[in-house]
Amino acid sequence: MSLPRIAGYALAAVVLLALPFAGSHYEHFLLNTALIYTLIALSLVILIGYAGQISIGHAGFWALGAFASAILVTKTGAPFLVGVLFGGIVAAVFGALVAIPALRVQGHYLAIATLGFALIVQQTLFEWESLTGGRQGMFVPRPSLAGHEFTDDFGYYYIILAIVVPFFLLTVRLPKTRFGRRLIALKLSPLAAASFGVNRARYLTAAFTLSAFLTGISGALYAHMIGHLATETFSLITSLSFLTMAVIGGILSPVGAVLGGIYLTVAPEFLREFKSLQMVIYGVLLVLFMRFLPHGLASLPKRVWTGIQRRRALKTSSALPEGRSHD
Amino acid sequence: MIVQLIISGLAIGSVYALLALAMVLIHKATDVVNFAQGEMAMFTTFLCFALLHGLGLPVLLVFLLSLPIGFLLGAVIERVIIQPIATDPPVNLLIVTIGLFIIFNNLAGAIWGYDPHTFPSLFSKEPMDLLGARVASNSVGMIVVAVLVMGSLYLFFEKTREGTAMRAASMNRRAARLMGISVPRVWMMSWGLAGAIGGVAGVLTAPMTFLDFEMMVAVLLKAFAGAILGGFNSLPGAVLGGLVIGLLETMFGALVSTAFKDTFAFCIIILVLMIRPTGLFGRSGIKKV
Amino acid sequence: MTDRTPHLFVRDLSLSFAGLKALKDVTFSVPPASIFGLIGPNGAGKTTLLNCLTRIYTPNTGSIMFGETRVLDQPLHAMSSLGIARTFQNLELFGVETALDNVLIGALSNTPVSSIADLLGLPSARKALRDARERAHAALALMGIAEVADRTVATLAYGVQKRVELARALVTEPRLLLLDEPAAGLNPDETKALADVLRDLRDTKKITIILVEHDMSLVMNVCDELLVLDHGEVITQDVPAVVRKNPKVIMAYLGEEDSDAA
Repeated sequence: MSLPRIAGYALAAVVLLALPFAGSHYEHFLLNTALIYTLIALSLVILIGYAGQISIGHAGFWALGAFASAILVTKTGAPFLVGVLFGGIVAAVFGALVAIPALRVQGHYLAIATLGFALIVQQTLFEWESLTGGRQGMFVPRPSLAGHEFTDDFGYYYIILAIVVPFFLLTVRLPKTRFGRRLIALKLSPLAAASFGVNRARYLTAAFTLSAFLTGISGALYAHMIGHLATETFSLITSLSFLTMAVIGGILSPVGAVLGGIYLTVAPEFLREFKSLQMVIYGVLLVLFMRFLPHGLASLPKRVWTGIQRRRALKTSSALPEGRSHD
Repeated sequence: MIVQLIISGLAIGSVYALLALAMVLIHKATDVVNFAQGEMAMFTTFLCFALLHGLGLPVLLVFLLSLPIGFLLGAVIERVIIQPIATDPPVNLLIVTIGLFIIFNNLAGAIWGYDPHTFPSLFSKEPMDLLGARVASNSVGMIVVAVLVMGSLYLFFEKTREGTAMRAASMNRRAARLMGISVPRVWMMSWGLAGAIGGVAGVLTAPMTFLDFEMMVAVLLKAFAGAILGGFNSLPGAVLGGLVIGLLETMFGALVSTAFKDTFAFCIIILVLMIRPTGLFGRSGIKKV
Repeated sequence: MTDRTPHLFVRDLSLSFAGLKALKDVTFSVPPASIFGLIGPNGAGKTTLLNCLTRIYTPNTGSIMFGETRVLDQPLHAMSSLGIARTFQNLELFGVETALDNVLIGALSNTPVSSIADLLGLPSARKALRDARERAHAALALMGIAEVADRTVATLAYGVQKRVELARALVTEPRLLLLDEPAAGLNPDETKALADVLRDLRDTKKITIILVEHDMSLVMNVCDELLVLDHGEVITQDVPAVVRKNPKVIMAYLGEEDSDAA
């Protein structure tokens, strides 16, 4: 690795580790929320950006991860980390199931299938009172490691960071791996990819499973942070917010996922005055972005750079000599 | 009892059928699936509601106004938002219609609040006698109106020049263009017509379910189920599908459970998607390689 | 290269699309290490036949034997592991990717790597990927376009794109290579270069090559045998010199000219 790159990573590490010291309670909560959302956005980068699929039902996986972890920890007294892993696994299993319709249909059909899935999950969790508390919801204990309970979000931040960062690195690395390259090939030309050995069923199932796993882990982390789960949190609006943040951040880019996560955390704060118009603004941003910046905020530097280069090229190829005053 | 169930089922099925019709209409003409169809219908209904109370217009007039208002809404959206990105990858268009969904859903709430409003029905509250059973006049009225709308649409497509041009354009864009048909205009007309049909669906639903910003969300999904059932490429299929979903759902609600009525419809969607073969390379059949 | 390239046996292949019979009882065999041409007027079913051979389409009846393997029992994604590679009539390249990355997909089809090693970036995986990249480079060099390795494919000239597609097919080290109109859109120089490449592949690498082609000069020049199709049926299978004089073949092509003139 080159020196500038090592320096870059080191700087990022220092900043990330130091961040919580710059604020207090509420800022810690926001930081954790941003990380939790980032993990979801990363899962969508994998599913939509790399695999070319669509999901407007990711709140379903989020719910499964949250409730699975909460139920396991409260009903069996399992340790927090086991709960989180369990949440990821439960979501992953359902991810593999959702892949089944994905193999048969694409585009809007798939979107509707994912939507249907999320609504079924939400409805079922709501009705299953004995398991989830139904309308009342359920309480979730704070995270604890080796006996120490993290009652505030400061310590919890480092745990979440330790979980999210590896997934970030995985998402960055994925397009360079054999699996990732072939997955992207499948998106770009399913015909060519299959002709060169890519087993569509296996790859799409893997993509959905992986995406669901990350979102399930995020759900579990969320559950232990928020302390109380209600099924209405895991609604269509939530799924659509996830999609929005991933698209606005940049659906092809892990860095975009981070930007999206920050956006979804911070936007409600800034848009607090516009309370009812908040979601309207989300929608408007979505439309504007797809029109003018389809690859999201993460693509902005590149767009600006290309714009500058183009202008430079035009200048140097200008027919008229620049200024005759030096004659 | 069975007659009442059938009439109820057909009534709600008519709403699903109309919305499904709107979505398939747009899809056939432009290859876009408008996720916001229901929300646009809801918004149109709210605008009618505003006219009803703001200007004190008679119910029948307001009801009729849902057609031009819905048409205008659809046409303007198509011109301003869809046209510029018409050639983008389909997933981008999908996301844009999702954005429109979010906008209309929340804009209605922002403007008119989140509480449900009563919306007057065109039909009397007195039940009527049909085939020996007492059924709600409103339900019968809904079916009649829906049939009228579908009938008019049929006449439009078969007998008018504009309609024939639209059919031609959805069958073969290039040939239509060569015949002097303006394809962008056809697109705008499709969105406009779909908006109008949606508007009618909205004003038919509102008296029954109360007018609020969430009114059409579940309806959209059922309509989608109906369209999928009908094959998504056929207008009569969409109508049939919507009616079937309405009937099945009402039966299920009466015989099994009302709580899981919505889930039932979604299960149908997923089941149909699993069984219906769509082919790997393209919706319109085997891609030419 | 040590085991003999198997014969390809096609027997009684039929395929109908919505009532239209695209292929009718097509039967032929292809000798190993030869260049075999599929010709016929437009709509004869040549590309349809090619697509059946490469499992894009599934015929209604018939069998395809590649050596000991029943091709029709195999799924589409197994073709590359059987040693069957192809190019496409409309170019199925990954336009936004570089030429090298396009060919790399071909190389990765025969690069075994454990999933864990791959995802974690372990040394064994990194090495496998490096080797694959080198093979991809070599394939581009073989096609004389090493210099475009880092260029985005969509920005390349059509003739160069076709060579990238061929490089992608070749890097899989196929035993059977199927080309759909490889000379379409190429100028005479490029066509001659293509002919040289094909002959070299047959003679040095002992690859069996099947071409669907309209360019008669290339076909007559380079093919060892020809199969002529018309309206989904086989008219004849023979060496080029004999085929060009076959009255039924001439009729089939003249018939095409007649209907064009009408």
